Amino acid sequence: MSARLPQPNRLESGGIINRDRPVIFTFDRRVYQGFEGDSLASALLANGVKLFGRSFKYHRPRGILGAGPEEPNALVEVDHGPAERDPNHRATMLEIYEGLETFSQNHFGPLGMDVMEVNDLISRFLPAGFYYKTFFFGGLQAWYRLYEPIIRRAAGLGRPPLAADPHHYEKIYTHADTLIVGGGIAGLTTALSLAEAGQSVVVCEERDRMGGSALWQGETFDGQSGADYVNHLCAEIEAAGGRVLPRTTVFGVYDAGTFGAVERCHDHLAKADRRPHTARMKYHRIQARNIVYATGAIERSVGFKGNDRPGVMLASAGHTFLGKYGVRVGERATVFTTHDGGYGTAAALAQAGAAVTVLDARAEANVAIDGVTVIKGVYAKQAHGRMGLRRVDYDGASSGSLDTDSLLVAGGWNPAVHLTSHTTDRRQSKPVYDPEMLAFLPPELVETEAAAGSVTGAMSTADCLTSAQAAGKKLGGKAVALPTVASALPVSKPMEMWAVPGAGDAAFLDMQNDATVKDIKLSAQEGFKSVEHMKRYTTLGMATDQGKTANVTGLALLAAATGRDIAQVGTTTFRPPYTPIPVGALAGHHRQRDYEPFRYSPIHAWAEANGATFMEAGLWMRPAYYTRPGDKTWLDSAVRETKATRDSLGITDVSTLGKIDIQGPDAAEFLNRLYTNGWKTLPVGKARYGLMLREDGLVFDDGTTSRLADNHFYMTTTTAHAAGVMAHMEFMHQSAWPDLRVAFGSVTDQWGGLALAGPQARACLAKLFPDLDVSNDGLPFMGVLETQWNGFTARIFRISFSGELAYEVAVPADVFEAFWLEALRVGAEWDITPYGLEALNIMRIEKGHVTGAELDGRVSMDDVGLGKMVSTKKDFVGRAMSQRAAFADPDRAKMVGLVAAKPDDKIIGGGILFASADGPFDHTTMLGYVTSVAQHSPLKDRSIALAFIKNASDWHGKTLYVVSHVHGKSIMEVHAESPHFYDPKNEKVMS
Amino acid sequence: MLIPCPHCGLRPSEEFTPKGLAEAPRPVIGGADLPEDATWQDYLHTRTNRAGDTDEYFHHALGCRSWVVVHRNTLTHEVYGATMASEFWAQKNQQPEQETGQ
Repeated sequence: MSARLPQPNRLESGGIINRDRPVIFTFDRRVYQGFEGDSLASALLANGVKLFGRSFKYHRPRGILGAGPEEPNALVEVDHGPAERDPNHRATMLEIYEGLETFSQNHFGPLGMDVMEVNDLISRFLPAGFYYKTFFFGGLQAWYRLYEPIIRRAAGLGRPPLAADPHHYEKIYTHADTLIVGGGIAGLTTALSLAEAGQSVVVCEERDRMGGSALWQGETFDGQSGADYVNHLCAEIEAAGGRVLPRTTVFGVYDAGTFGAVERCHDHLAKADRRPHTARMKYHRIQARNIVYATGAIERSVGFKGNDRPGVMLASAGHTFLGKYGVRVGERATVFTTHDGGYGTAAALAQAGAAVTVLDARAEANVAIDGVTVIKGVYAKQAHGRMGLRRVDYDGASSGSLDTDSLLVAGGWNPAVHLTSHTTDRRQSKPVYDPEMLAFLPPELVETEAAAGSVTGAMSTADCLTSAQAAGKKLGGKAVALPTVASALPVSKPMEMWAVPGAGDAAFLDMQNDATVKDIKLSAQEGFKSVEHMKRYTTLGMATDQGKTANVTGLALLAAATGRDIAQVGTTTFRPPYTPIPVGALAGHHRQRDYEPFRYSPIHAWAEANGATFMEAGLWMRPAYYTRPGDKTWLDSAVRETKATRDSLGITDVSTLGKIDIQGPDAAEFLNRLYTNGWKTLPVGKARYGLMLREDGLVFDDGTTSRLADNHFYMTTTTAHAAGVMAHMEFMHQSAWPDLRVAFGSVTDQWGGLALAGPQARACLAKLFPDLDVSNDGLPFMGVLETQWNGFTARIFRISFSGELAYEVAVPADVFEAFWLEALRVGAEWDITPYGLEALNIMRIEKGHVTGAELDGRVSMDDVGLGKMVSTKKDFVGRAMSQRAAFADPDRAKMVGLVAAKPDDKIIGGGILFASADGPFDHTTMLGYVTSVAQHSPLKDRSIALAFIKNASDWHGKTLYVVSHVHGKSIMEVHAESPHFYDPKNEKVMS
Repeated sequence: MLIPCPHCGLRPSEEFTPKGLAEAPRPVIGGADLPEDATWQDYLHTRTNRAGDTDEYFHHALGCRSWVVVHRNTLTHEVYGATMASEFWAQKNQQPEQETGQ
């Protein structure tokens, strides 16, 4: 154990920290010691640190305002690595651990002397809307060049990490009958009532431990301390089968009983204690029938000049640091209160040895505490002390000045009603203003909702417990015996004082956005009177704290400035998340390749070992080309592979094509309705090329389908559209033709496929299947054979995409690699050459076969030269709309082939076609566009392309010009011809 | 949002892919098949897009692969139920008859 270092503001006893476990941590590279159970805020306060950061706009020195999730000021960065650094941690929520490194934010130069503090000196020139007004001068150019970069550098909260989040996150589904949000004494009591009635309950508490204010208020429950009573409740709940989740923030309420919560699993542990591969956070998607809002209340400050000085904090915060952490925030403390609640804090501080003065805004206040000076009918007028509070001026019934080192403000309580307005599926109502309580309360709740504790407006602990009992009863819970609360704190309704008389400049409401009392008045004066407009004009209620300590006060002042009631002004809409959550927690494992994993062919490893360079085709990784000795560029490889195939024998992997097995008495009828062409007459043992349209008449997909038996078909789709075709077939079958007796399923992963192409393809096939008649008669073009290879089913299809004599052979994926290797061994005799997508692309462009580049969702059957593939005797998807008059327009662009005029020119994909080299090259003269390019066609010994052009056949034999506006308007001469460059009569594929 | 898949039970909406409103059945074979015909226009293009009660196609793509028609309210997000797409239009055609029979 390390030596004890002095902690000047730590009391000798008290609090629920573990004094046996000192913890060493750093803040701005200075080393401090705290105890296990401390927050960064409590540990630094214990060490006498008052300055935590700089404000957003004026760079004013700031300390701690709150003690919990509402904290607007004390935001720190944790860790310093470019990937690890994690900004905007609230010091009040950050638990210290051995070795924790933290850094203050938002200052230029050291925290103590920020050069941007000059903004504070000129703050009268930086009112709300300042940017909108000022940077208008000079126009847009001045904005981009001059103002925007400066503001970017000066503004913002924290620095984002620059590399991918190295942490590990998990998502889990959590189910319960009832979710209880808030693990204070009310939430726990409600949970126990429900759990004892047999309900499954989950209690989520955003802080490090259950118990809420019972942990620090000093009240006792049936004689037990708050901490002990809370432990007792938790044990009872767990014994009844309930779950309690500390460090778990319910950040959103969604439709149908869905709730989002994030559990922080790692952030409080020393790094050595974080087990590898365990989650930093867990995102719980909670599904629960009932919800209990036991979210508590957040204290509010009062607007007066200097109310942001380090040392001014909420009374509940000062009380929490004392009661929970044993830290006395000041020796000469002043409490400024508008209700009896401030006296509880004053008494606790006095008991801890502080000299305490109470400034009570009420003239008729009637609470007396031994040893505490009370001045009635006065308010804090101004706080002094730039780097730490020194003095408070007060005014009112009397006036004066107090030397003080801490000012604790008790301005009343705002119930944390945020979650009650997140969704509208239960009810349309929003939180309602209660002018009696001076607070927004939850609206009337429906039967699946209940509220318990101070969120209901209950002020005393006894009232909170009673409300919890009622909440439990409403949702079907058992009656639980309530404890007797002793040493109860004084409570009363507050006096209405949102800002002190005369407050304006430097009387801060929203500390995080530096929005002041004056800004609200200015907003109203300039016509931004709606609460939504005021929010956007002043930025009150924005940024990471979403105005938890500021909103209600802001709209109360807006109401006063515009002569309306607070209820009339209403609130802005609370939206999820309640507090900031890392995007990583929402993503969980769904990131990078885990979100969109690669799919690999069964021979991927072989291809990798044999020089393949891969390209992505949807999720698939497909070989683009195989580099062999002598290949200088990818094009060398692709051209070599093309020539080898055209001259002798090539082999390629077609496993990635979509494959769908279709069976049933109506299978042929089903295909008839999906494809434009007819299928009923297709004989068993034959394949047919099919074209699918979308219902709007445009081409959807193409592929080859084979009839394996009367009622059994095997469909192939393009790699890219495999999933879409499957969903389309399911939709048509189920929504339009449910009577068809057909069943189908994807078998893409079940079959591996290869294509043998080239003049020697038949010889190679015959050697692979020596017992089979693969002659032109035995297996003619578009013929299909099902046979065996080494005892496994093999399907042989005589189809060709390359334009050569070709066969596709499918075998079960498990044995595909063995079959592939056997084909290579057998084919060695003809120098068999594996080819990739680039060579395939050259060959199919030479042949004029279309792919996704042509079938881009804008073309009709006629446009791609397949208009004759229509059976007019039947219905099919897209039939009606394919007859649209626009499709018959002769001006429609149709497919054409292009050949570069000069041997060294490479046609540019996406280039635009023009008739003249003289321009203009714009939409008035544009004739068409290039879709697919072969950079080098061995057939033409130069670059060729497929393109779409108006009056396509009229251009055959003529000269055109390809212009690419994104390649410096280079003008390239090309000659148009039929897109079927290679073997237009299909003699090779039929041979 | 949770969708009560008639086959799988109550499932989270992330398992489903929406397609759009189910407002008109696909015109039957042998019926009108010219692009101008109102039945085709209605099937393809006409969508009321009303705020309130709607019937929408969802594909249980990450589940049983059923197409279902989800009945829900787009204002309150309440989900009333779901019908198999394969049964939806037949049931819908029967409803007017039942009403006149009463």
